[in-house]
Amino acid sequence: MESKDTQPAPHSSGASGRLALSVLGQADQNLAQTSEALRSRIDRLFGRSLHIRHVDAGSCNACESEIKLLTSPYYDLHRLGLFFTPAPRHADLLLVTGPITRAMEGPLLRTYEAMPDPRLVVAVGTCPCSGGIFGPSPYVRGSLAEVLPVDVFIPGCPPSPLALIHGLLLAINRAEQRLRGGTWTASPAGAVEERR
Amino acid sequence: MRFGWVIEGLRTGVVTTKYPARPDSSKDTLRIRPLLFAERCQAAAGCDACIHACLPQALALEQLEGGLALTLDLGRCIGCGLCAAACPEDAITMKSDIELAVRAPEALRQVALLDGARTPAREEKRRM
Repeated sequence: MESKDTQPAPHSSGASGRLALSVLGQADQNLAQTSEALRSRIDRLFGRSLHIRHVDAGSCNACESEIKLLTSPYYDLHRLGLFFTPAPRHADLLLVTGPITRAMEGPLLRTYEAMPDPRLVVAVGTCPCSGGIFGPSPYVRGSLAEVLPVDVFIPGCPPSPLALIHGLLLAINRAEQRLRGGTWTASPAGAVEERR
Repeated sequence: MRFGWVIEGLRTGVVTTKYPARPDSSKDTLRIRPLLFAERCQAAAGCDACIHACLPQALALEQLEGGLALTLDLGRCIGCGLCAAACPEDAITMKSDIELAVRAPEALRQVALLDGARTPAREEKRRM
């Protein structure tokens, strides 16, 4: 919908952006500029419209039941600009459910390779995070991170559609990560950050 | 011509949730995510009821440099609540937090240090 940019973003950042970076060393400046460029490019490409290809890597289908509710009138994924597509060539984000069975590892990799850059990978459910109740086992890989570079993990068994929306928006920088890992010495351990 | 469904639709109105612009409370009754209360935990005295109750082995007792710690891996937790039911001290409660998505799996690891865990007033959080 917007005109495709042919120049990388650092050349278009304003003078005020350059001033703020001047306090850093040269190597840090390059890194900061590159990551800013990448982030703003991804936001520009994905911020308005994102197409999702879902692959079931041996899931029990509870996660699929929650995913299919995303297109229901109550959650309505389309109002956020997120769409499902069956073609990996058209997809921007790969949504993976299941503990990555040995049988589905090959097709999953072929789907990922068929997706054009830039692409994101999101693991849905406890199964691709760690194997869940199915792993570790000789028949499942367990963690999706062993097979693909994962951008967002959405734990839950299954994660509710609200959790899926939060995770998908986190992948395109439209939501904030609320859960922090860490060590707590007082209670309760593991509270989720409040919404600001 | 029957327009009953039109009247019904106009009467019902828009049912779409406004999440994430506004919070959605439809999942607030879920009990899916364990919260650990370290000062009530008796693991230092030898209790490991939750460790045995946990199906995917998400809970573990580890000896870290800060002392004995109860670790919860949310990447393995399936939210069954058996740990909360098994705990004799009510040191684990199930909450309805659903916004648990993370970028790195290290953020899914929640550690509760048991040694020196006394007053909740002095909240001290260290990043791993």
